[in-house]
Amino acid sequence: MFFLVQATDYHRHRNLLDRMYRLRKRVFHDELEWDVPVIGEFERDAYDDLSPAYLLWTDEERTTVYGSLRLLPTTGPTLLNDVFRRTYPKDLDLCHPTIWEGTRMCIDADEIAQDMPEIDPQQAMCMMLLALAECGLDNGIHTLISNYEPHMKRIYKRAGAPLTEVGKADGYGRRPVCCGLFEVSRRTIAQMREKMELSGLYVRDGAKRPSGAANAAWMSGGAGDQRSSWINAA
Amino acid sequence: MEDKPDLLKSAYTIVEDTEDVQSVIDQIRALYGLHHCVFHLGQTQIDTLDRPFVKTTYPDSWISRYLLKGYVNVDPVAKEGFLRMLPFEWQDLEIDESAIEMMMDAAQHDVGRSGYSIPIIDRQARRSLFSVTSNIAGEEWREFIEERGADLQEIAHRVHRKALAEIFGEIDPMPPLGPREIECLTWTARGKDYAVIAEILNLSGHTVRGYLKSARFKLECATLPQAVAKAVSLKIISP
Repeated sequence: MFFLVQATDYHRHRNLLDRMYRLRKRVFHDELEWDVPVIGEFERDAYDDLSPAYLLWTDEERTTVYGSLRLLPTTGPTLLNDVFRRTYPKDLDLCHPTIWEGTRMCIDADEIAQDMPEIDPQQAMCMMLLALAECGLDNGIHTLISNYEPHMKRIYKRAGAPLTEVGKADGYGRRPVCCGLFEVSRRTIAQMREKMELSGLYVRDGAKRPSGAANAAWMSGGAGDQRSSWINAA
Repeated sequence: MEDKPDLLKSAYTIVEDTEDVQSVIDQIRALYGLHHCVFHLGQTQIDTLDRPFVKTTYPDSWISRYLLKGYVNVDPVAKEGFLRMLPFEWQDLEIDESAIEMMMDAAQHDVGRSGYSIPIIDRQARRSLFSVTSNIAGEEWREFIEERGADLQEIAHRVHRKALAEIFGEIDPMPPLGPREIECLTWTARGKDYAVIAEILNLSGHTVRGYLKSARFKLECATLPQAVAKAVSLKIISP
């Protein structure tokens, strides 16, 4: 399941966050060779100290991390503005409460292959994107600005997510790192759902849900139910 | 949203023309037909205040009750609001036992049936929290937030800057416009709409909207025509 972990919930998901930092180290430092700060087994930088919201993809028991992404509003300090300044001075310095940056998007291809062999890594990335869009819409985000390696453009396309590339920087990893804008709206989500034949990935109460409870049982009562049906009707 | 700026325009005018934060939130409350508004500036390492900067439209009886009972230590809105980053509805808060007495007391003091809080963070990582309450609830409230949430977020930031200016006299400037924002504004000044600008600059329409929204926000204007006029007068663009 896909859900947000904000600073109010860090303490109850400490293990998941530690797994996320380890996954990020493996993906961004070890595999992609990005110039990212590493502390022991963790990849963690100054933006992780700003109480970001993390979109996590975990199993129903919330013990295995399949994927993660970090969300910060562009009204505050942002990684992309700082990182891309060298190549695209000020061009990515957007600033608006409904424009958010999504960084460090990654998946654990091994864990996914093991637990969900029917999902290939590209499909997994598409699912992250759809969950991200659903989560954005639920939280009043209109635009996401994101960084990615060039091949991700194909994945956005496969996910039916309209992406406009607005910057590209060399010297962070082996390949250039691009930066793009992606619209969050009912229209784009409908388009993605149609293309992927999936919907309702994002679980709004995921961080607070009792561990291991079946999705349906949790959803059938309370205010969460109303909200999720509203999202699904989007 | 860019399409219905009427109230937002009035809200920006209120922030601009009003002396102090207290009267700003009094007027914002009336403008949006809210039950109450609260603005709370967070303590940061760079700015330490002698006492908390909180402005509210709550009745005095509730404020003194709140202080007397030490509710600030159990108030889930204050507790979660400075940790969360995304706007939230009060119905999503976790109410632990220590807060139950406060919640019942709040209901008796007619604080409002529904609440919505907007966490604010600026470029210096200073934080604050802007909350609004209403006596509408359920579907009607949800529709209100969906329609006006983006307005309220912008207003929250304007009030945040107003508060900083009120406390410290001076405030750091908004971030400067980037080249793309300037290009999009320039074409707007020449009478082109999103779709045309998108074609000229080979961007998507949504991206152009994003740049213009950001430019407008940085220029502290409620509408695009105002932002264009301001950019011209500041000699940022020459149409």
